[in-house]
Amino acid sequence: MTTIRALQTTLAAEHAAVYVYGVLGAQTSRSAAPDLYAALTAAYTAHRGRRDLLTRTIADLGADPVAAEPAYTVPAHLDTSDRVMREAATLEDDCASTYANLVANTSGVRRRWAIMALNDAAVRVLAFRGAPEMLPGADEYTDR
Amino acid sequence: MPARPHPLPSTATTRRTAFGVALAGLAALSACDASRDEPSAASGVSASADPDADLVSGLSDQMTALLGLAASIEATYPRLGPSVRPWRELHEAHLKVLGDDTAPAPAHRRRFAGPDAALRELRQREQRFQPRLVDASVSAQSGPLARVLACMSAGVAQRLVPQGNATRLEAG
Repeated sequence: MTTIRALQTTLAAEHAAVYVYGVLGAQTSRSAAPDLYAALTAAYTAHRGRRDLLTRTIADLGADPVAAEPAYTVPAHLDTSDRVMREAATLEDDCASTYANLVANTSGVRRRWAIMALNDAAVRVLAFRGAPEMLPGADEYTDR
Repeated sequence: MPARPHPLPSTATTRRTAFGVALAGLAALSACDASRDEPSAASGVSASADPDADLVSGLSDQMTALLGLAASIEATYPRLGPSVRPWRELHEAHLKVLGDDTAPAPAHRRRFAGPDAALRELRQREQRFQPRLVDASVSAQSGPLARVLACMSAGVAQRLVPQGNATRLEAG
């Protein structure tokens, strides 16, 4: 996989993350679930920032950044905080895997940035009640 | 799909041999990387060259030392087992992925200033080790090895998050 292709794949994942976090935030009451709302808002902001940076990076490399899809599939029945959290944790797990693959296909400062994003996703999983893993982002070692 | 390292063989007889086996697998995968940012990282590496052998060896030594500290704390203060065991299991798993199946040294009781001080020492050393994993990932010649080391850094980062830091689950 080329660096550009890996960056495009990561950008596509961030487009999806921004969309899904928007939906999760809309399903969450700021007054009834303030902690969850704040965690979702922080995650949305972080992913939007990374999406924008990826877009600029790809453009700087002379490629056309992949565009967001008009809409993404979001699980139904996001009617409880528990389900919203589970969806957010799954989303961060997926992002961790995506950034782990970006690490493998970059070097230097871009690789370091990808590692930081991977670490951020792994830690954010815990905020949404996900469980610690031996190797977050490395799906082939999930059971270790 | 991007190249990914496979679970590594655990039949090697010595640490150095094990690293060779582990890195051979990672190197073979990295050879599939057609293009990366820098030429040195793009051409793939041969197993015989082992360009990351010293890096992995150094990390393995550090993990073994942390493992020894955790085991000493557990031997000295058995009631701290639930706090220390996750660290021990984490480093055992990471060493296995790196191909180091050297039998751990037997745990010895050690003099600490107390259980709290022992836990504090372990945590501080883990905090210092986590950025070393990040730096090692950045400097790895092999992309698949870099990926695994980055995932290890994330695993340590997760364990460093204070327990009870999860978002409170309100009725909703």
